[in-house]
Amino acid sequence: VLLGAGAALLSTAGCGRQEPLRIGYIGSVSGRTSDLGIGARNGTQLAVDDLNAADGIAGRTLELLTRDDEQNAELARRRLSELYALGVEFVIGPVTSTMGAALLPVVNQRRIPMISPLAGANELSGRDDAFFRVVSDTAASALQQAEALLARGLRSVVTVADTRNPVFTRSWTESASARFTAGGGAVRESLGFEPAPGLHYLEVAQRIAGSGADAAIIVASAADSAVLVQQVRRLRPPMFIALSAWAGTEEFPTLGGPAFDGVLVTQFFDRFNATPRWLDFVARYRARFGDVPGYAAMNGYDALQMGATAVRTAGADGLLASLRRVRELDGLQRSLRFDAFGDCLAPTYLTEVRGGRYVAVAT
Amino acid sequence: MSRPAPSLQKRLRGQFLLLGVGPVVAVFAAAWALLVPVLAQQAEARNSELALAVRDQVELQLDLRLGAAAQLAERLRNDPPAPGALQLALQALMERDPYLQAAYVTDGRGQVVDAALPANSGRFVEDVVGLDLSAQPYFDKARRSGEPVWSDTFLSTLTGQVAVALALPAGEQTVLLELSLAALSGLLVDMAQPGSSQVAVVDRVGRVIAHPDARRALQRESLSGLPLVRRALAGTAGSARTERDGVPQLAHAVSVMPVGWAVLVSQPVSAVMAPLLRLGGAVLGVLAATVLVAVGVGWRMARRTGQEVTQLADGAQRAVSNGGIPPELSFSTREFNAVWTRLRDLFQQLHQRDSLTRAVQQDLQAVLDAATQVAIVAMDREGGVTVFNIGAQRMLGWRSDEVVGRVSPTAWHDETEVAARAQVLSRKYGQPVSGVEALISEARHGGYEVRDWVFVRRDGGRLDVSLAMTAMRTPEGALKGFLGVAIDITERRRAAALELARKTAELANQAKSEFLSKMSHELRTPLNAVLGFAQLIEAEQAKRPPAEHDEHVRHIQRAGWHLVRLIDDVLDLARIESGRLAVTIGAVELGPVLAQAEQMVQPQLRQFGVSLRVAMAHGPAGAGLCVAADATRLSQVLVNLLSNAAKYNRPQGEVELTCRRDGAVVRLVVSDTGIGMSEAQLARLYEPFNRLGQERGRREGTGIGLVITRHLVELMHGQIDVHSEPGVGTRFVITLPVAGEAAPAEGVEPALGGPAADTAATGRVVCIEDNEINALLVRAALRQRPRIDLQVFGLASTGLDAIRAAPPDLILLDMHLPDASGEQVLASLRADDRLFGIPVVVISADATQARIEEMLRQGAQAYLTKPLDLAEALGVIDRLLDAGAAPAGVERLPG
Repeated sequence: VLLGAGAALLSTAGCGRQEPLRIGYIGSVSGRTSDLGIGARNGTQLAVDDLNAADGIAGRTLELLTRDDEQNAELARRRLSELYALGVEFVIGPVTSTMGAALLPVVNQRRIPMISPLAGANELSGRDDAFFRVVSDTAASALQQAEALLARGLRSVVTVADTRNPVFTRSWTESASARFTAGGGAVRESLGFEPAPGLHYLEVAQRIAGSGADAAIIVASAADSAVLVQQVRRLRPPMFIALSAWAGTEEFPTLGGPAFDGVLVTQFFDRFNATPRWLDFVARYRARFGDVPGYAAMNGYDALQMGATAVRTAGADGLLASLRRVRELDGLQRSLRFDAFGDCLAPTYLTEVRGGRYVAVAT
Repeated sequence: MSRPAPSLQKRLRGQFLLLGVGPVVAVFAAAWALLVPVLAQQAEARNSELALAVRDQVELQLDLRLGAAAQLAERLRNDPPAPGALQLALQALMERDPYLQAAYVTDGRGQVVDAALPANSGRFVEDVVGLDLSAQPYFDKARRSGEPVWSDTFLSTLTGQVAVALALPAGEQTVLLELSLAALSGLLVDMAQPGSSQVAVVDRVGRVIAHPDARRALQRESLSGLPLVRRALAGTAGSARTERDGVPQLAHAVSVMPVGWAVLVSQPVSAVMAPLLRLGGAVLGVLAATVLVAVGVGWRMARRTGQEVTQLADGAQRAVSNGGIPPELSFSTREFNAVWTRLRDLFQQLHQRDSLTRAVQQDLQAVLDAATQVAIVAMDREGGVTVFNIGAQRMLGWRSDEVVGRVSPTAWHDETEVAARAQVLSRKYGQPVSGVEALISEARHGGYEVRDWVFVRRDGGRLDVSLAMTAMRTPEGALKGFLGVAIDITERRRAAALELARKTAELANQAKSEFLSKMSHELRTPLNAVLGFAQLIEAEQAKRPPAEHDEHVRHIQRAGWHLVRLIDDVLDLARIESGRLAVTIGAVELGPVLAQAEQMVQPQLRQFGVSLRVAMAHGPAGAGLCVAADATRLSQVLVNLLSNAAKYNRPQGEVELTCRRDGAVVRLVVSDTGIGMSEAQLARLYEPFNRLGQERGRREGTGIGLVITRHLVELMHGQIDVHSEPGVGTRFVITLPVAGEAAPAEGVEPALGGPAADTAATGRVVCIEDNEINALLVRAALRQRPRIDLQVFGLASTGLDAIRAAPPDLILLDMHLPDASGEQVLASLRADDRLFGIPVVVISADATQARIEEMLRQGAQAYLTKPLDLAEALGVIDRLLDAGAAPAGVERLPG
């Protein structure tokens, strides 16, 4: 009798409460690239919190389910399947293009939309698929960087790529090289390195410095870039160094001291944005996570808003079609525009490190 | 109304809940109220204790590294080692501490001058040497303050571990150590108490940096959202109820002073309350056991009692099977034995009653079954069929099982008949009656009803029945139902109808025979006179004086005219029966009509020695009093009545004809002092050929005169009434409407007796007649008009030829000629302009009114019927010849 009454009470209490809207997040929240994964996750979480504070979507609260891909393709696919099994509406992630490429077949098979905050590789562009992103195409950023080098009168480069995230790094170096060559420059050498135990950073630095090129384009994480930049500058101080947006983290300028002065760093977001909305986001992010938000956090936030917009306007043809109809999004810093394939057309920004800080560079 | 008794099962359940479950639940509730605060307090104490222990350990770990760094710094300051020795010192430091990720010494500008890395890290000192650490905030802070400074925690992208760095100035140089916080996570694994306590160390901004599950530390989850953590980071330890991973927790947090971190220890509320839940489980166990025991005991009792009940039921069943005779049984309990004894008594009483009832039923059934020719249908109070016997089944074609409780008795009744009956009953009882109520209403109100109905068999056949419907009542008088008993009267009805038809036919035949006999007599009598006197004239022509001849001739004439009247009457009757008798109504002055009637019955008055008195209340001879009538037919009516009054009178009897105006009508009364009529005779007075017992009397008659009379009166919109008394006399009263001024009456001028004295008529007459005797008669008649030149032709063709050759003054035309009809001849004459004006007199035996009117319409000037009234015929001829060449007026004379 008591058990029956208890069961009845529980079932009654369950009535009237709508099922939450489940959203998946997959990204590297541990390991060497976890700075991006954690940043994007935190940004996504903040967006979820903001929406829930405003009564969710159509009265349904949002629930963020997080999975760590550990930068392992097989593991990532398994974790994504777990999220699907939990009934997620869409998934935010991953944070590297290599993981994006690994998950793409699964995403397109299941047709559950995936919105990546950071995977910008060309390889993922121009496809009529279920993969969307709020980061601009890597090629566009690389072109911008190559043009900046040409504008500085630099005529030869050496490219250096982290081979553990090849989809992104190759996309960047190839696009930059092509533009640089087209602009009359020469690519002296294209180097690759795997930042694993046993790697002699000094040797890589020596090959960069010894290439004789006017400039080096390094496409690697902030920590790896920091070591290589300092060693190259020690070996050949005047060599001009340009870094990809991957290295453009908040901490990067503090990792190198005066040796970093003049290093050109591409940024996926406007570090000097002073709009009230951005400043409010920064403040709330700090209060919530104790950190200053970077582009990963910003893009995580924007990615979730894109998904939420599509859910709100979804019709009988489903969420995927609804996402394809999203052609413009009022992002945290700027208005994002999307092409017919759901690829983002967002600006990238060029900065230089001066005195341990980023400063804007006119493009 | 009394409430139904509650079920035993329900009552037992209620008592079980109240006495068995209630106290257990109450004890559990009390335990809950008392134990919850105590358990919470204990949990807080445990959390606090563990948090302080962890904090001490963390501080100890940090102090250990700080001590090692300080030692090296001291050495650098006081006794700067050679480069090789510094390397050894750094390596020694690394070897002693497995959680150190790196140890550096920088120069004054912040550039690494020497370093040591873990031996198996796969990293190389030469990659590190030369790196510039001056931009690191903690480095700068340490250089400025000269104090050791711990960095913010950071994720080392080289090792993938969360780490913290310590900078300690050593003169110009600075010692830096990078400590992996995996050290702390490992420590927490050891310290976390077995059970459900969760421990985490968070950095200055609230991010998890150490956790027994090292992966949680790597994900850098932020707990800064918990107020408890924020307070601890600000330096205030405390306990609170909070939520982690969606699970309610009891938590305690303390700060780790040297680095501004905090330790958070928490336990899920569910784990804290586990003892209470265990108690609840135990209570549930007890409850379950209690229920089980109760069920077991109940089942055992039910089984034992059930066996007894089953035995009782079996005994009852056997008693039922055995015709109510109970078997001998014994039970293990006194109560059941008592019940069985009582049941046995009941069974025995039932058995006796059942035997009686069965006998009565068998008798009743035998009665019902024997009634195979009678339909017996019993109904309930609403008319639903309850019994449908064999007789009913045979009569109606339904089986009993198809009818009982299924079909309304109206199913075998004629719908129209039932509806009509329902209407009658509705009027009678002043409330709507319909359906089966039409059959049972009378029985319901009056107890019974016997009535003829038409039954409709299932196959559609119909039969007449006499249905007796009776109300069935209980001995107390309450209505129980209805009993309908029907017998088939179709055959009886058919036989009765046949008998009636047979009798009617017999009567008709008899009447016809009598009529024929009478007609034969009536026709032979005048013929006897005609032929007899004619023979006498022939035989005695020479011997008898002319006066005696004249008498014979009068007899012949009288007999002949009587024959004519007979034929006219029969024709009238035929017209009446075929509905073709017509009258021409106009204003008729009564005086002349009465006088004519009086004159016409004179021979009969004289024959029967009866006197007639005519009294006109209106004045002498009824001068001026007119009625709406057909003069000829009115005369016929009066003659008929007066003739009867004379015929059926006593010798020297009297007849009186009176005429009196009474408002808008005139009453003509013919009364006599005759033999009168009985009621029975009066009832059949107007039946054709019925002479009311006078068939064998001495008086002549056909029995159709009064029939014609009544019809004629009614055709003239009048009325005839009769009053009679046997032995006293009879009185006929004719009522006719009064009319305005009279037209001159036709055919009422005195009859033309013999040949006119004036024989001045002259002219040429052509007669077309094929019958020689008739032709002879015409010749003989016209001899009385010596100045008429008569030519007779036997064929239409020769007659017409003669007429065309020399047009005559008058044409006499027979209707039936060998080579043409009278109409054709008339049409030929009228079509010829030369002959158009010659008057034509039709002479025909066809006396029908329609024919007469037709020929007059076609242009004949007169229509004379055979036998000819010679005086009348000569009168017409005289008049038409007198008229000369002037157009003759139409002459229509009755035959």
